[in-house]
Amino acid sequence: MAKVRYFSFGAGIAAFGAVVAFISYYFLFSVPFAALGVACVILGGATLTLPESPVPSGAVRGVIHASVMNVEALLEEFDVREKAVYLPPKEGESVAYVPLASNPHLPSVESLVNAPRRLVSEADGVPVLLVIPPGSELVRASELSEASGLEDAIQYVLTEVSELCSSAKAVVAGDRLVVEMRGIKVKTEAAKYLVTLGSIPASIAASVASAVLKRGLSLVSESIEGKDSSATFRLL
Amino acid sequence: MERQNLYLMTLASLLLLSTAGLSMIGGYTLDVYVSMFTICYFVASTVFRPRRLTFDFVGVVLFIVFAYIVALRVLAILAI
Repeated sequence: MAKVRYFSFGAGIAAFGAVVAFISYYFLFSVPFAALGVACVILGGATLTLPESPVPSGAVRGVIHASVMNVEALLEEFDVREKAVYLPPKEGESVAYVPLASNPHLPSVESLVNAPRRLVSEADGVPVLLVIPPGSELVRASELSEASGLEDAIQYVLTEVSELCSSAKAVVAGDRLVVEMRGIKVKTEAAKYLVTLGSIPASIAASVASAVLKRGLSLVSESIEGKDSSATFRLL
Repeated sequence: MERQNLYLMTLASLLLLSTAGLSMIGGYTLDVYVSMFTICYFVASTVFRPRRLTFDFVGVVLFIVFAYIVALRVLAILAI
């Protein structure tokens, strides 16, 4: 599949339009041609602001499924029972840590960020398991930034990049993030994954949110009714 | 078709139709064309809501230019 080079096309057509507009207005004295040049500049400028084409959705779903199964195998091996903490990307990669021991308080985000990147590490004296959720690669492929807007970013990744649900909404209230997803097209059959990191769409939404908000977050609860889900996260 | 490509095609079509339509009627100055382009841009952006990498600087520039054009027209009407 050919990749659309938005930047090259936008820059080219904007430059072309600028030249046409200048020559038409000051030398040819033609307003319609000058307007055509201005239109090209506008089109080129609009194109420059668009991100490049994301990974095809079919391939994305395959990657997601494989990733979830890998994480599920790890969670089962270590018999984890605690909720994971999603961390914002560091050096382009976002990870999640799952406490391996019960503790009334989650390790601090700072200690998790500074924890050694090993399969089993320690943060605030609590052993933690490092997992790379499927949302990590989707965040990287989607070229998200803080300018994206939280709800727009979550909706884009869930409905257009991965096509995992029909619509998604996100609201931040205090230290809580609520994500509502409707028309979910994939069922999370990995039991431990569901309890620890949330359903697949919720997990991806958490990765997106941590990347956009630049904050850690942890799943509080998730309510799944048919093809709709409402997940609540605590912002750390 | 991806939403972003659809947005670009629609925007290009609107701009082209505006240019062709106004030039066929004839007698318009460049500010009229720019005003139409501004409307086309915001209509396309509102309908498709494309995701952007950066701040919508094109929209801001068009809005400022449009406001300037409107202000000049108002001043001309008020004969100031």
